[in-house]
Amino acid sequence: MQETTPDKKKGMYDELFGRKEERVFTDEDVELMKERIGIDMVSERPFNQECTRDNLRHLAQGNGDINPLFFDEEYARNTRWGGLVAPPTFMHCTGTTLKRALTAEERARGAGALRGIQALYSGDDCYYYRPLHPGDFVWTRAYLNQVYVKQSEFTGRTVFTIHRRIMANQRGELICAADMLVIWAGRQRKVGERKKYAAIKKQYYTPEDIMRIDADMDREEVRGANPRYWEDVNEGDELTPVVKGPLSVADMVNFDIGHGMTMYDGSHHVAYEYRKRHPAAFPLNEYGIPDTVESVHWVDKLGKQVTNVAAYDYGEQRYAWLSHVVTNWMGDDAWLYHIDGQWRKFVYLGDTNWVKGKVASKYIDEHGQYKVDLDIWCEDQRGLVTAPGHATVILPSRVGGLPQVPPVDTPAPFQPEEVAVAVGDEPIWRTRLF
Amino acid sequence: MTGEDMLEKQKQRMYQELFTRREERVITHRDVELLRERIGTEVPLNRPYNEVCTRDGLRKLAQGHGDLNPLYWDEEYGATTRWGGLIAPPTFINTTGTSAKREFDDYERAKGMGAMNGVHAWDGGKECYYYRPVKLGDFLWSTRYLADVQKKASRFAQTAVHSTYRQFWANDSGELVAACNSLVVWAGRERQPGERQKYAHIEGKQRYRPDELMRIDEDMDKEEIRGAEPRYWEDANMGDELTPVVKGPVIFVDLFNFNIGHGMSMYDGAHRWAYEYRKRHPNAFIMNRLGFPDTVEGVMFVEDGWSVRTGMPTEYVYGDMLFGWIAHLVTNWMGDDAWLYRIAGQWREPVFLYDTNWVKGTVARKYIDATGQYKVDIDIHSEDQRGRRPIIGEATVILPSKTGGKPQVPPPDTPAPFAPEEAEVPTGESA
Repeated sequence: MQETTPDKKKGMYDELFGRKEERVFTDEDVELMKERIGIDMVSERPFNQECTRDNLRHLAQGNGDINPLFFDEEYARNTRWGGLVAPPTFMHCTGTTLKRALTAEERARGAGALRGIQALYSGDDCYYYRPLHPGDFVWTRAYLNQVYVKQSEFTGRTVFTIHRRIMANQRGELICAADMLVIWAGRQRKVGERKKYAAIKKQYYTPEDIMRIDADMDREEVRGANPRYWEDVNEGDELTPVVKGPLSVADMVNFDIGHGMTMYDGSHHVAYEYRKRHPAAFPLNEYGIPDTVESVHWVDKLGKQVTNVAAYDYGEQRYAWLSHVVTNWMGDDAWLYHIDGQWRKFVYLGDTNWVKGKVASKYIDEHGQYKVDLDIWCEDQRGLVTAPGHATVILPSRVGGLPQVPPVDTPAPFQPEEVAVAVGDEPIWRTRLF
Repeated sequence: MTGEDMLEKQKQRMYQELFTRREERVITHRDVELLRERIGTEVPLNRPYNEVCTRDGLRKLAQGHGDLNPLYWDEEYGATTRWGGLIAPPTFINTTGTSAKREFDDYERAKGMGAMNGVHAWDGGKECYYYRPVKLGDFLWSTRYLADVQKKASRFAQTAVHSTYRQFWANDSGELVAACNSLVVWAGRERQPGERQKYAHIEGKQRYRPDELMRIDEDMDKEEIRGAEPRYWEDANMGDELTPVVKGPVIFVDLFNFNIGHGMSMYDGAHRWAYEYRKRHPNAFIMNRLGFPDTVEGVMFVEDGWSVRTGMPTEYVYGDMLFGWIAHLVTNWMGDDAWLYRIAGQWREPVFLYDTNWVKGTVARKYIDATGQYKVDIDIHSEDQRGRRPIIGEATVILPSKTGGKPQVPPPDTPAPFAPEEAEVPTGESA
């Protein structure tokens, strides 16, 4: 057990029981945050250390994705991939760094920057180069890449940070590269003063609403083994929507099962050891109990303090939904090369999103790859676009055959040295829980 | 009939079930008779939560239980133990097991059709015997069937029915790994929420003062993982108390973490998965306050109002979670050389959200059995912050002995207490 001096526990209790001030970020916060740019982060124990068939199935179930390519080995054997492949979202829940610890100098850089400011995962921009199969191990490199200030209608001035993650398999081959957007919103306004979400109410449903949503789910189409040839696709073609909702707490639990929590190590004593080190991650709830800040995602009362309405989804869910509409449409032979999305509005518990898409352009690139660009978006029952995004897919062609994987221009659009990942001889299985 | 017609018919049935107000339902004699028809019919087990024993699966389970013993998640540590690597905690078997039988035949499916339909089922307890460790890469075969149905009187509902499910697990070589009896309690909902008697004294959720929290933290600091230091049989005495493990205050996240390790039992997944499941099992869903079909498991993790439908004052936790707690108490105490041979628990009272339980044990008996095994029997119970005892249980552990050496695994009397033919598990083609 980790030794904890009484002093350290006192620090934890001061943090836990002390009254916390609403905090606005300062220019100093921004400058401090910039000091962290480029420092390689440490990721020792991702939610999934390995790609296993259990992990892939849990993820597909949490995403609501019934494409057997992601969970049915017998089916997957007969595809061009020869076995199960990971859905695009798997990169969110795996990746181990070779680097084991930050140096004291690295730890000191930017210490305290934006502490106590609400951070919202707000978008992602991701390129895929190779498939992941059960048994694969992912090495990763992650670092803060950019920091800048913007104006927001929600909280006024906000800080945008871009976090880059590069992933390679156990052979050192590039798997994917992604830029994640985090928005830091100072809570300058009292709940009553916020205007942006004033008109939004929790959604109630009639039986007819439910039957319409069900009918739309019945219309979802997994293209699967039926190739979507580039020649048969036209600009303006609409993708068959996938339906996500009404979003329930059970959906959040299922998503967590596949995707993992991001904030702490486990329950009971495991959480307690984490709390000693990170007391700020455990605000007291109304019953006086150290709870997690993540409770905003399933307790309406807590979500309301952030959104003014109710509990809300994880950004990662929106990423999963956008990639689901694309992989459903493109078929198992195609290659999802690029996808981006921004989580612009909250998706509240009880909301329903129709994830839609349209072919924006169709072309053969300078390497001879048969590409289509897609506009994709999540639209809720109010008609609000909650997450706009784009995708580029390389389709099979009747003349050009199957898409080449990795794509010819790998690692575009990055510089080769930018996407170098330090890879160990073999995975380090010694994991530390605390 | 075309596929489309069949879908429409299936959906009509689903909507009728979903949108019709379900009556409060009493258990009838017919229910009991019907349920008894199912006794002995093997239940197909396909795609369990964990199909294979993996590092990720073991670590997630330990994290959900709040178990810091590195034997379950630190491979380097596991290599130094008598097991030569990671082994699964006792609860792992309940998340895995595939049957060689793939599906019911038509005759079996018709048996007991409609029994207890719409009656609330509770996890009442579990009794497990362990014969061999589960290691990384293991795939377990399993058989499960309803073994017994009994009518009982209940303080909570007028009639209750206890049904016992028996399950065996074997490895790829057909060697017996574990056996389990699970108790399911069916309670008719005869009473309106206002008439509740049994839990009338529970005033909703518990509030905590800082000093109460600090006491709980201190008790967690006192938890002791015996681990690499052998607990010799010679040094254990009747009346010895096991160092308690503390579980709580239980928050929603603990349910989530438990689910991540242990899996949900009620539906296959989110969105389209749940919808496909709903078409086949509309009964597993209830219309919630917003007017959409939600899971009946919402009694545990949907705040305010749900649990009342089952006659509870507030949300309560999974029985399997409590089984994880009592197993944690015993494995913490016994050390990594010992063998947990049997553990049983009954969930006598629900554990409510925000409750804290101190799980305790006492050495009740110490003996060398007929086959020369150095055993101790342990009495287990939990005490919550209200002074209730929601859990009672018992365990039998085979300890290392200074003269007799390490416990033999599998124990010499395997598959006691079952008849050998009873504990036979058919294995299939390599999975």
